[in-house]
Amino acid sequence: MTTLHLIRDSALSNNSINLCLTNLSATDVIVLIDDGCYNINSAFISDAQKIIPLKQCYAIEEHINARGLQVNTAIVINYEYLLELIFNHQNVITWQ
Amino acid sequence: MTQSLAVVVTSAPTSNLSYTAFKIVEQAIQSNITVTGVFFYQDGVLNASKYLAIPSDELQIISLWKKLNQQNQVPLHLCSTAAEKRGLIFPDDDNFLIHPEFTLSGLGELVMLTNQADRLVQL
Amino acid sequence: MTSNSKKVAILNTKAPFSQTAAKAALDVALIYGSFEQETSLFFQGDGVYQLIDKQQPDIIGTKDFLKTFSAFEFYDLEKIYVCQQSLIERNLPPEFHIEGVMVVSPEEFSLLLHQHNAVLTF
Repeated sequence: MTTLHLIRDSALSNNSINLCLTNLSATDVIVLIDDGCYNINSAFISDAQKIIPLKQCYAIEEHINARGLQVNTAIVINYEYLLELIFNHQNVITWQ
Repeated sequence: MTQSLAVVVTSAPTSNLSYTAFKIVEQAIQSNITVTGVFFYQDGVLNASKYLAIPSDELQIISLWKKLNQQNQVPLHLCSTAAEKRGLIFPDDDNFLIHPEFTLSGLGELVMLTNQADRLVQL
Repeated sequence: MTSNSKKVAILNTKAPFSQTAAKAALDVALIYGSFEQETSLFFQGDGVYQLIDKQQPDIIGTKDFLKTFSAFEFYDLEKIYVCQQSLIERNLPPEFHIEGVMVVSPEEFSLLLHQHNAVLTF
């Protein structure tokens, strides 16, 4: 019963994003996409990593690079890997 | 066994978000995943608008959706109620304001897509 | 292609009136219900404002679509969960305009949400 959480917005501007944290289980994964990438250096990602290890935190490489962000708190992946993750988890919750 | 995916698009073409939705569908096709359909809901229905004029030096997201239907036969469903609310329905001519690659559907279509595909993703 | 009936969760995180999310979620919930799909409704964050009592949306020119929530039971939408922590954070008493709402801890809320195969967020 593991969930893939797609994070689509900055938790600092959209508090609904923080709801992901209360619904995050130890075996879940999160993927930062779109403006969700801005969480990469903020409290959201450090709070998430109190629940799941860094190896379960991903970010879409194109979306990170487009925003000029530096990543050391997540694994950067491409769309192909995202599709694999989608099918490796029971459900997907989109936070936006 | 082939995996299958249904996608619900609730993002408008006026933001970069619907391009992300497109890229995920495109990748699914490249990864040999069957895309059972894309269901456009809420502001997502604007992705079907014929007269949405995107400047020519910007990404033509609507053309990309159309191509998915033309080349890969991905069904593109438009929630008719959401389309109606956003001024996309012209009496007696569904394709007056909407590109013919998109099909006007009821929300019941979303229920079908939910159950046909292995995974449902909202974007 | 596999064909299997899924357990659907509709997750409401937005307040009812200034955005279209709440009404869109309601329409989807009723459709799943009318197709006899196993469907649960979740309310968390500002989504809990959709459930509180004594609202009068007609004053601000909004049709009272919240009234339609009372139809959930006729559509067999009987699993309605609200996050206790979200209520506490907003100083809201657990008083709702419909019957049968289950107030659950954030831990239970998460556990229940994980038991669904398809989740739509509004």
